[in-house]
Amino acid sequence: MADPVWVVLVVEDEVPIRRFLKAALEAQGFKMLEAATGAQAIAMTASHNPDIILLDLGLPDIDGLEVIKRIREWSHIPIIVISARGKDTEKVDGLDAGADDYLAKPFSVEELAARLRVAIRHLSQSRVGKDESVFQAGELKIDLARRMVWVSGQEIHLTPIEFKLLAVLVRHNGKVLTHRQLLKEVWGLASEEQAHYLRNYIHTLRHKLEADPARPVYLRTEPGVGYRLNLTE
Amino acid sequence: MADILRLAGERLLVCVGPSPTSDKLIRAVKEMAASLEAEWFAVYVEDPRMLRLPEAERNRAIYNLRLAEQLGATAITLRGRSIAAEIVNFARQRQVTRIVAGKPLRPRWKGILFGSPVDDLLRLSGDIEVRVITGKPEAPKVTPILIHPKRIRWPSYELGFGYFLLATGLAFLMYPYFDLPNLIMVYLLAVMVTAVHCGRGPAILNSFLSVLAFDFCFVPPRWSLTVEEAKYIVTFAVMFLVALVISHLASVIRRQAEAARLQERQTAAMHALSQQLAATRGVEKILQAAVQHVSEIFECQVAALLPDDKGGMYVAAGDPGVFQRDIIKELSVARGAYDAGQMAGWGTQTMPTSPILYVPLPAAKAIIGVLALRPKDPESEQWLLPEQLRLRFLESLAKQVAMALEVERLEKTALETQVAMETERLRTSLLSSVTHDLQTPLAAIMGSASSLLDLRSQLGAGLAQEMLANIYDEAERLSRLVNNLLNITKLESGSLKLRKELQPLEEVVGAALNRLEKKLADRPLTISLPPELPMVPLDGALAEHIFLNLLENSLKYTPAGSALAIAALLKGEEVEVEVADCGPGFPPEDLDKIFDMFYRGTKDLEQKGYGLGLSICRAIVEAHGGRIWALNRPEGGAAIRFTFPLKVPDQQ
Repeated sequence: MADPVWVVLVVEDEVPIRRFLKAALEAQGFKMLEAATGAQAIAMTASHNPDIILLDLGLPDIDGLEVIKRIREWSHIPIIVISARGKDTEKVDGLDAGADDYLAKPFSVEELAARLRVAIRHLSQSRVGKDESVFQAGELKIDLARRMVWVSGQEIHLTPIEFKLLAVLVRHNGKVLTHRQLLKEVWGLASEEQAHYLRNYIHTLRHKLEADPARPVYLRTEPGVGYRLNLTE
Repeated sequence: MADILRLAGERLLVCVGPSPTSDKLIRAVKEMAASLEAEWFAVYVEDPRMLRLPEAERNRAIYNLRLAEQLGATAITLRGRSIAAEIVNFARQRQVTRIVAGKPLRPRWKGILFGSPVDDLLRLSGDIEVRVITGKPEAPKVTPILIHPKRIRWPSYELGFGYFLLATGLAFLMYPYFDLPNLIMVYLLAVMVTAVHCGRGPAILNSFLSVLAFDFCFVPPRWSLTVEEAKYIVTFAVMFLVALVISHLASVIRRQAEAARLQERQTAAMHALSQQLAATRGVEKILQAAVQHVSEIFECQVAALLPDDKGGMYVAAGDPGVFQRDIIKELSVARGAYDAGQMAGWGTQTMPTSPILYVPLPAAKAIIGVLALRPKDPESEQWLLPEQLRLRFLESLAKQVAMALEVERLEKTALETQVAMETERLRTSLLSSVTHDLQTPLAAIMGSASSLLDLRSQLGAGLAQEMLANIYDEAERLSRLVNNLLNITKLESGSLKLRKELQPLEEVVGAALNRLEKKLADRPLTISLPPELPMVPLDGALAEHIFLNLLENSLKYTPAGSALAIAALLKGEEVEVEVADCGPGFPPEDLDKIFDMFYRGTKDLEQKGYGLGLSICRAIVEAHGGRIWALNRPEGGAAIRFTFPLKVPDQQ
């Protein structure tokens, strides 16, 4: 079976960015649909059923956050938001509203490709309907079913909360998770007030899993946003 | 022509006294001054004799003086022994052309015996025209204030009598050993002491008693008022006269001393107020200081009122209890005083029935506000009477308060102007710095892109690749610049609220290192973050920029492949961080300035981005309450050190 052609809907009002995205996406084998406004984006999502949406949050008509919420009412389609620089809260709001990942302008083709790869991997997994339970990257091996973790073949002991945190990150491998999302999924906390719990656990996880915790390979910090687990073979 | 000039220069002076006719005199001179369009002075000379006048009369003099002032005169009080001499002196100083005085009303014999000030005036005035106006006393006007019964000071008479008894006792002790004249001396001493301590009345009584006692007890025949020798009659007469003169002189000294003491107290009070005003900033605090001083000096409740937008007044400082009843009516009297710029209320011509005295605060151009004074006991003579110049003193206090308020206002305006100028300067230097920093990469990008567009066929594959890399690098530089600009404008404008959260420094360093992963790939990097390092309150996203900027600077200014180091140490209540390289280091003379370059915007803009990046670092570090400084490491290479306090008093 030939690889499917993934359809990406780009929602962006700036023509130069659309032009650059078209070149970049088509060179990598994607099919690109274009929308310049939020209304158009919602309409095209319904009519063309794209596989992935690249959504610029600064749209001329509707607020990008509103677009996310409206689409999320009926679709789980992966949404990658593109945010203007310096607007950390915008990114976080977009992610908390249901977007899957973000790209901050200006971004390189490489970053774009990485985000798309992650989205596609998650898409494929959910389509195939198979949840992997063993993940391996470099020296790190995680078995979610058996609740075990190894670094360089050595089993590492994790506390239940550490493991739960790691498991959440593993399930969203490659995607950014905001502080709020992690606090909610791991601790059931709704506010960000307790973000320092999270920081403490990430800190100890890094010391247990990373060779050099100050230059983390797996557990990446996205300053002002959250964390991203980076398990790639 | 000469006449016109003279008219133009006409200056009138009216002599004001306690006489009930002064009132008429003042009004007459006012009309004269108005018709001549002349400046006019109302002068009251306070000589020791005035101090002896009944309180009511002294107050009438002040009342007259104030009337003159209200009618537009410059009111002056002089002190001196000779009324005429003081007036003529003053008139010459101020180039007064005409002096107007009232005709004295006292009995003619007094004038012949003691001389009259008007006669002296005529004699001394020289080329200044003197006019004497006769005034019949009008039916005494209802003088609303300042008439209070004089308190008789019985204790003074008792004390005087005590001195007399003491002298008599002493005389008995001396009698066996001394001649009679020596005893006279003892009595005279007692008279003088009485005059100084108790005033004139007791001293005169003492003089009389002394002569009687001396005669009765010591002059032969003793124990009788008769005398053997006629010469003693002369002795008694002289003794009585000397005693009178002494008591008179001594009481004059006493009054002068009292006047001086009063003057001194007022000066001290004025000084204290002015010192406090000089050290006080803020309208409210100035008014509070004024209220406090005035209420202490005058023993009354005081409130400071300022005008509101609606044509009323409001209590800005002090004791709102000043207004016990009728606050609406009282505030309208206050507003009247404010609008007219003249005292109103208790004891003045305007609304004298009010229990409160309103004193306007006159600044150079306008009245700023009003002080409201409610005497604790309006009947008390303490308040106005014994120190007759209290109202005028109050006015000068008010002027001083107004001046302090004016200075405050001017200072505020000046400060605002300065801030505006500073902002403007910063904006200009930012603009020039940014323009330069933007232009360079843009020129490189446009140049490279246009070479690719126009000369594609001539450029070899290698050169084309180089152009493309150039475009990418310069665009990246632009991007970094815009990021920095965004941060600095937010920090500078104060619109950026730090989102400080406790976090491991490691996390911030890690984020920056992850972001620079590729550029740092060929650099040996030592990271030394001791495990005992506590969590630090940081805005993670901003703090990351410190490391990004410092590392990027090091990458730019040090040879490829040379080592970098990041280290942190716990030092008491703060964490000290160092980012170091092994490059050429900073020019030693620049060490103090490198964080300023962006602010100055003058020197060496050629060092691209260097200043801006470091100024951002400083802005971020300082926003966290830390310090940042640069040094050259002894082993070579540059280092930037900065601190983050672990406890920040004001969590923003």
